[in-house]
Amino acid sequence: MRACVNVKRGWWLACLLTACQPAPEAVQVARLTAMRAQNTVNVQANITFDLPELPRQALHSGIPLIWQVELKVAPQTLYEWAALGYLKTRFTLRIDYRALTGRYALTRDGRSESFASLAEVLAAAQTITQALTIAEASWPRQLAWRMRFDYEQLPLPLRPFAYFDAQWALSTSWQVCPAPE
Amino acid sequence: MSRARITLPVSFFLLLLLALVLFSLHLMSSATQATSELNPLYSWLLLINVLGSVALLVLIGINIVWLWRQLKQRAAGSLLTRRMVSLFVVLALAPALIVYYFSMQFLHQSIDSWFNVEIDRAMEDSLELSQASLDQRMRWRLEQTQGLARRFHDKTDSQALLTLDSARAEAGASELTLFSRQARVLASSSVNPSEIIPLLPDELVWLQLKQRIDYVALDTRKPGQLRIQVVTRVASTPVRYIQALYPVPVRIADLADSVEFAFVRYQEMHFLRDSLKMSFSLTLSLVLLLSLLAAIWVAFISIRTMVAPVKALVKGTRAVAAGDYEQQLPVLALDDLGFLVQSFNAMARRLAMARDETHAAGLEVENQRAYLETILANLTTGVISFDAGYRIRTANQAAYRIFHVPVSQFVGQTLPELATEHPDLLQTLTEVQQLLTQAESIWERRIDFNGPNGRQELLCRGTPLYSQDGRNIGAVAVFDDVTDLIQAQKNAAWGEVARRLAHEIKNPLTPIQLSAERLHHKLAEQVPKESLPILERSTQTIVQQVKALKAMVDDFSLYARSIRRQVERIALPVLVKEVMALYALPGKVRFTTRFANETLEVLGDPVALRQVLHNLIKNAQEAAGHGVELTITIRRSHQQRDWLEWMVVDNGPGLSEEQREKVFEPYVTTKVKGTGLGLAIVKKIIEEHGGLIWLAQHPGGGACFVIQLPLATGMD
Repeated sequence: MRACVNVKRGWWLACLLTACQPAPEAVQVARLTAMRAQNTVNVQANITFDLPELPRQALHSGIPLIWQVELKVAPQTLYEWAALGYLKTRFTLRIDYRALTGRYALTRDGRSESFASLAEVLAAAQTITQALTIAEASWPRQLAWRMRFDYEQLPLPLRPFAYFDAQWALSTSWQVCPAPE
Repeated sequence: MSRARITLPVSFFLLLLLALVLFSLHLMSSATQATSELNPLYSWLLLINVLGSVALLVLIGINIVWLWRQLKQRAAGSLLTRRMVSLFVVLALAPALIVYYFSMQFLHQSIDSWFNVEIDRAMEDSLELSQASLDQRMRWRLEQTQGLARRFHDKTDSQALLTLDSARAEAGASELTLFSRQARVLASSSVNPSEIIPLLPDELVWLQLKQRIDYVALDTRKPGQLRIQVVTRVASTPVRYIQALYPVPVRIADLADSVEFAFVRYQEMHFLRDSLKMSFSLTLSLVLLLSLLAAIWVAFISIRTMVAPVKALVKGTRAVAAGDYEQQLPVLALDDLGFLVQSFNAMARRLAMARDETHAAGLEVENQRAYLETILANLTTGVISFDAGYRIRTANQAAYRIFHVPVSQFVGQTLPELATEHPDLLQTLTEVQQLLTQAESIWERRIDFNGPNGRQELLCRGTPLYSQDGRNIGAVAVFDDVTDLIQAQKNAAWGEVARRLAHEIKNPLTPIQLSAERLHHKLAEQVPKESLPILERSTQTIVQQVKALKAMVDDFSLYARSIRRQVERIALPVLVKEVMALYALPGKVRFTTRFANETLEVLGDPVALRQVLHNLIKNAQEAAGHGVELTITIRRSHQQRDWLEWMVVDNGPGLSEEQREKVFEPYVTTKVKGTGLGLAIVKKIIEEHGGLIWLAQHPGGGACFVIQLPLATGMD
């Protein structure tokens, strides 16, 4: 009886530890590079997608997956913050599936591309470039970039649960890189 | 009357809170509509409502803890509050949960009813039909484009450019473009002249073409327009590629869009089936939870407000029961409970007034009683009251002085019981007890008894006490110590007698003595010798008797007049030794002295006090004859430390009980010679010095005179 109790306890403990383990990130930033062209910073992010089953099903059910790709300066001091303020740029990245054609559409900043398979569209979305124009006088030392999954664009019934479902954790955290001189 | 502010059961704040809760629920409900502008705020509204529920839960938890503490402390109104809250919660929960259960059932069944296999099949079939239709059109367009490619395979680029427009128009394409092997645009024709740049195939298309596979696909990149994109190889040298864009007819495109939209919506709904259920369940549960929590919290507040007057009443009643009649409760509402509170306040006021009046009356009675007690305590007459059982009820201080017994400590006991420790009082007190029990009206009796200071004479009067309805409720007896009064009367009488005797007798004595001496002188020479002894003996007898009479008259005059002529501080042991020295002849009187080793002084006339000792010594000599032995003791009194005790004990035969009672009275003597005034004079001197003298029983058998005099300590 005691052994049985211990086995049960061990099982619960294992479940608890499994639940507490962080889920592997679906979207990861492999490389983030920044280049300067006059007053413009061009950031190129190489990301890898590993779309979990639930978002994959949602996509195939006609639910678009939408991210907000954001680039901003990252002030390190109060002086920088006062000089740079909240300088930021953003565009929308969207992946659609068209049931009629059986093709996927990748829309970046309003420009759309069509792909025959999910692998193709995810591969196409791996490289993201974004530009931010900054005044010369207040050139920052650091930049921050992220790709935030827009939960509010999901259908309403899905939203409350998507926030707490690890499969829907499709955002990257803020990635900081030094601003090019 | 103190009237507190009147408040409504539900305050404005509560109403506002309820309105906010309802508004929030309404917003959340609206946000669930896909077309609502609040749709993007759904998550925030959900969060706000969850936080609201948590806040309400906290508030209810605080109220429950408060109620639990009140119950634990058995606070007033806590049981009523618990009962009302429990009743409300049960009444509110039961129907709400029933409605909730059936609503959930209905909701889930409704959502499930949206989906079934037939609809699934129909949706898939319709989409497949659309796809088949478009596929057929695409195959046809591919063949058509392949035909165009064949037409261009022998034409040069410039020739192709000339015929491209006609070929495009002939094929019904919206755009026709000729590419080189390197994907360079060689020629292009568009139905829309404004579109200068043709659609460029992407890399995947080129990759497919290089594998000699023609490309045909639906192009959906242009919003609101469905086109068939066909790219095929032109078998020329060098190889070229031709791309044709064919618009799908609007009707077919619309139908395809419509079918796709419906299919996608259905697929989406199918995918969201469980989420929908959970979402609606969550919203419904949240609405129910928030409503119930708000209702329970409001119920707590309302019940507390309603119970407040009852609570105040319970507190007030407890206070009144504990004797606090000053309680005035606030009137919180002009309803039935308010009327009850007002009535309670009026009752408490009346009780307070009644108590004050009773207290005042009690104080008056107490003052009267204290006044009477003061009078009784300061009376020289002893007063003892008895209850119906003739047990002592009260006794004043004078009773203690008279009987030398703390009578007031024997309350509840009869008079004979009082004599348990004082057997010498037993006969007297028994007599008084009998008089009390037997008397039916006022009675008076003179009784005497032997007190510590000698014989005491009391004048006793008593009366039974009757209530207004005639019942015997006890008796009261008063005692007057008339010993001193009677003694004073006797002394005054004897003084008057002595004065008259001294006056009437002393005057003729001198002529009698002189006449007798003259007779002796004249007749001594004339009478015959044989008669001379008779003459001498007769005249000598007359003279001696006259001298004796003179001495007796002197004693009377001494007794009659005040002896205390001069007052000074006298060390009594010294005075006694001086007197003892006069009797120092051997064999006359033997003295034994026991003087305390301390200063023992009195204020008095030294001549008179010497007279006292002389008289006592003389009395002892007369009683004991030759070989008299006197023991004189002077010490501080054991009973009264500021008094001096002077005892003179002889070795005579002593005195009987009867003699002891009258030994200090004039003309009382057991001796053949003597006037009977010696001890009377002693007593008179001692009393004139403020002292006491009595004859005590001595174990040795002799007379023991005890004299007490106030010490001169601190006195000039």
